[in-house]
Amino acid sequence: MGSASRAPGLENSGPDIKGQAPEIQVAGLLKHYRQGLLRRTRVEAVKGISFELAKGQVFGLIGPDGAGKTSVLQILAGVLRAQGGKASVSGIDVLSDPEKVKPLLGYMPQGIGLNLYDTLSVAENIEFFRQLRQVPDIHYFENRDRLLEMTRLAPFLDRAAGKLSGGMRQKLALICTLIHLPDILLLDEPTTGVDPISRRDFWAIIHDLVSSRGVTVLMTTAYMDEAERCHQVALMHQGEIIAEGTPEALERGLEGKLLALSGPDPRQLVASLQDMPGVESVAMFGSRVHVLSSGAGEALQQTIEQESAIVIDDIHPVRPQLEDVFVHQLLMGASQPEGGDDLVKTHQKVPEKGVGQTSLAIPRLSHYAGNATELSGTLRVDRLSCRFGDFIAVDNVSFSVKAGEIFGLLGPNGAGKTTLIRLLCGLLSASEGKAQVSGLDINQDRQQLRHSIGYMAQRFSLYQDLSVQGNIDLSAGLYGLSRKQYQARAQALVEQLGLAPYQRRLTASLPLGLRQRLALACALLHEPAALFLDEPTSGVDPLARRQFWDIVHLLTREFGVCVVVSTHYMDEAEHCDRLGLMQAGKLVVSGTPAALATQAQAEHGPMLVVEADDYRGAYDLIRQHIPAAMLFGRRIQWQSTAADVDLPRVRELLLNNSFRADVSVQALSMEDTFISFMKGG
Amino acid sequence: MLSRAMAIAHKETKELLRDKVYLGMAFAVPVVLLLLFGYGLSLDVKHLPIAFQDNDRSAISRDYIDSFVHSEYFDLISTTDSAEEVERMFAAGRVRVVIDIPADFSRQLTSLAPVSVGVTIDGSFPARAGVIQAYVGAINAQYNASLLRDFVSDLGLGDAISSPVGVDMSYWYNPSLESINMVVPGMLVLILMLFPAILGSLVVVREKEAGTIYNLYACPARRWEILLGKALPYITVSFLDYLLIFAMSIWLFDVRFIGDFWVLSIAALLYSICTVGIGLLFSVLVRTQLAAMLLTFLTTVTPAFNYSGFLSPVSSMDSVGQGIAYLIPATYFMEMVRGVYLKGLGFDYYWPALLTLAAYTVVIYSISLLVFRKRVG
Repeated sequence: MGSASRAPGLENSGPDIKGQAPEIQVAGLLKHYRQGLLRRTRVEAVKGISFELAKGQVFGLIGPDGAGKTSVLQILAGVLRAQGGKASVSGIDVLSDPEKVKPLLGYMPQGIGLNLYDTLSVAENIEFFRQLRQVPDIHYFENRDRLLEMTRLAPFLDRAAGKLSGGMRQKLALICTLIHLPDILLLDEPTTGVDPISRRDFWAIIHDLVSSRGVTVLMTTAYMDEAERCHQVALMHQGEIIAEGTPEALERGLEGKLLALSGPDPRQLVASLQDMPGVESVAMFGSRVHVLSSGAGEALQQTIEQESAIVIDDIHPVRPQLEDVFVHQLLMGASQPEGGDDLVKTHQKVPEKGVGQTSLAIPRLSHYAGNATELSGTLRVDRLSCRFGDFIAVDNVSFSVKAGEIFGLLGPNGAGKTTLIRLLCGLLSASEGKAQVSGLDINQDRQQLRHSIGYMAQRFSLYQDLSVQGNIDLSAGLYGLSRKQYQARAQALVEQLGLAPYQRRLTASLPLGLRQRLALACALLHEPAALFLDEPTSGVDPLARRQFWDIVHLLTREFGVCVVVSTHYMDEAEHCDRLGLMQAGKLVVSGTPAALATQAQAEHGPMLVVEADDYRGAYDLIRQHIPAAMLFGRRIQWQSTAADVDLPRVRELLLNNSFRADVSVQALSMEDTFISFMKGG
Repeated sequence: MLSRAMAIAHKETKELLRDKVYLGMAFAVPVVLLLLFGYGLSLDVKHLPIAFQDNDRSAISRDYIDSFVHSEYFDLISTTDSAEEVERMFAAGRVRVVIDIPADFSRQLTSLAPVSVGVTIDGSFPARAGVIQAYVGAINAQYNASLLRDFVSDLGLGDAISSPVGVDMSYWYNPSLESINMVVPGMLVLILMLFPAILGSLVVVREKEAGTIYNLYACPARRWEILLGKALPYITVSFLDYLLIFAMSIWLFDVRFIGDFWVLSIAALLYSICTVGIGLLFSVLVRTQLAAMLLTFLTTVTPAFNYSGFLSPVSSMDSVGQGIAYLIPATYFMEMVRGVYLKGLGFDYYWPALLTLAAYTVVIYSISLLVFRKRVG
């Protein structure tokens, strides 16, 4: 099984590696764990996977929680034993000689700043890693100062690591991993839970290392927009690699199969599209509906257009994202994508039916609110503030949410999103200001408030050692529901959320996606009119996330529930009707996603994108003239207020230096919009 | 190569100094424990509260009462003739022993007829009750002897006949027989067992819980470098504990110390290395701090308290108890500590115990090194 990057004509799949031994080589790797009281249950974590990385390549292992990504990284880092197969780094066999590879490696474990010592300061943490790795002075000071500058951590040298924000922690963790100038980096979900600005700093460092020192990077991520920035990605699911290739090639495999539809009633659109032949999956993004066809998109488009029952205002193909590829691959299993791009390897293994994950049917919540009563939850927040001593966690925030609306809270770590949500749920007392949930004052009517809101905490506050049913019973008990009251409702929720097969399973043994749905079921038992979701999808795989959003859409559209949801992930923001951007406790701006994008573009300009064959050379060249230019995978992009001047200038510059390149102006993505406001504010 | 171990030791020290809980556990709790036990665990039974139900109220009955009150063993709480009040005082725990003097006490004695006093002892603590019984018996015998002496001399016979054989007792090593001389050095052994072991039991497992252990797994440091770096700061801490407790024992508790400070210090250092090592072994074996702490607590301080000879000598235990005693390092150190403090013995007496401790230490660290893996799963 040759690496995709060895196929002919592959200037774009990362560095040129012809005739070079791969830097990382994994073949038929096997890993299983033993679980349970007597360690009798065998859990297969890695089922004989194979892949290769060339020197200087950035390789992304993507896949849901529990796919086996972390095991692969830990085995390569020499900190986890494997049961079979081969794994080598720089020609050294990791399985038989793990200590020998360790000087070459930088390994960053999963979790925000988990390799840091909280009571030590930033400088002391770095110093410890220096001593541990015996870094000679000549490299150390130069490398340290450069990393501190790039991460903008230099002013915080004396601050204890425990008192840094999530983004800063993660950047410090990266500095500590990089301080000995490793040739190979193994990064386990380095950006999960990190705000977009810190993520940009992170990627700037990675690209700098790759281009200046030819560092090889193997990283894992649950987020598809991260994976877009890798040279090569492999999709892992249940211990197997189900697809591998460059992000572009993987996306190209789906080209023409993804259609965006809009119409007056997106709910009805979804319902009627679902059973249509040729439709693989349907997903709702606010007022738009994305349809993935299993065959060619044109055929489906014709069918839909001819179908008189559906009112459609607009239908057009859209550029598929890696997330669409992921969903497609999981649904299709082994089938080779048509219009086959030979850059894409589809591994000939059908993934087992995931635990309740591979069905994408839109759930129906027929029993909710005693058969479709309009609940009409509303929210009014009026100059709400919350202080902890001198620290202002929420600063004079006002907004309102209508019945049936989804309001998204975006913002970096520590911006105050969680505090705001806890205030609105009556879990914290406001220092100033007022807020009403469905007419109930959050300070005065706490008792009643509790019965009309549902709250899903960060990381789902479920009892891991209770069964699914146990958690449901407990929640019902906490809300004072009698068995008679909730039994039918709970059963309906369990069935409709796809939890029925797991009712007796221990919560701890469920994948994250199912735990998330269980947490939702618990929050919905008492049929709240307002729902508060705090980072409900962190670490959950794309399929489960889609289903989750389908349920949220259903609750708002059908039953008039109002939803406030916080998230770090910009692609999720597209699901919201309106967004509020928070920074340092303040609500910087709010509006519909489209309006925010338009506003950001008007203020800070659109995105200029360069796609070049020799993107690295082009990047170095452009950087000399435009320092703000950033490298995203193979794309070079920057925001420009003078696009009409920059565009011809860059085009000419590239032409004069004989680069084959394509320069275009593109609308701002949600992430670009977010960063524009954060920097501007 | 030692520099990596020193880097780890340096980091551990900083973490220890900044964590109030660990710092408290390292220094404050041992001091508090020593104060509590030093002042609280007195095995001497003195100044027992006593009451008399004096139904006679004569010169002779007062004389009898005086013979009790004029010893340091009893403190007179009250003399009364009300049976109810006696019962009340007993129930409230205000008196431990009550002596009931019958109304015909002096009349019977002067008419040379025998008489009995009723002695009621609070038996809720059998050991204490036993001591009270002995004291009461002895004082009563003394009183009898003086009555007899008076009677005999009244008859014109010399004193000599009244008590033909006298006993001239002297105690070695702890001449005043004060239990503090035995409790405080014993506490030194227990404290140096418990806290170094518990702190040691957390050093590796704490990093396992936090996730930072992967820094050590994934770096090229050797296993012994890691364990050495982890152990050094805590060995230092426990040696400082030793100095602190030693100073307190001399200047605060006035414990008799006639031995050589250097002999004791070398033994204490070896013992500290050993006890930190026991904790370290558990730390390497288990996954959670709670498990490490419980295991360490169960396997170190419990047997040390019961079998090291802290409260009763090893030689008076049954064979199982003695077997356990010789399996735990505290026994060897206990023998040395008491010996150095009270007997002033040196290395020539204790080299077998020191060697045993050293062997114990080597074994503990070797097992730790063997079971510590930089690759899990």
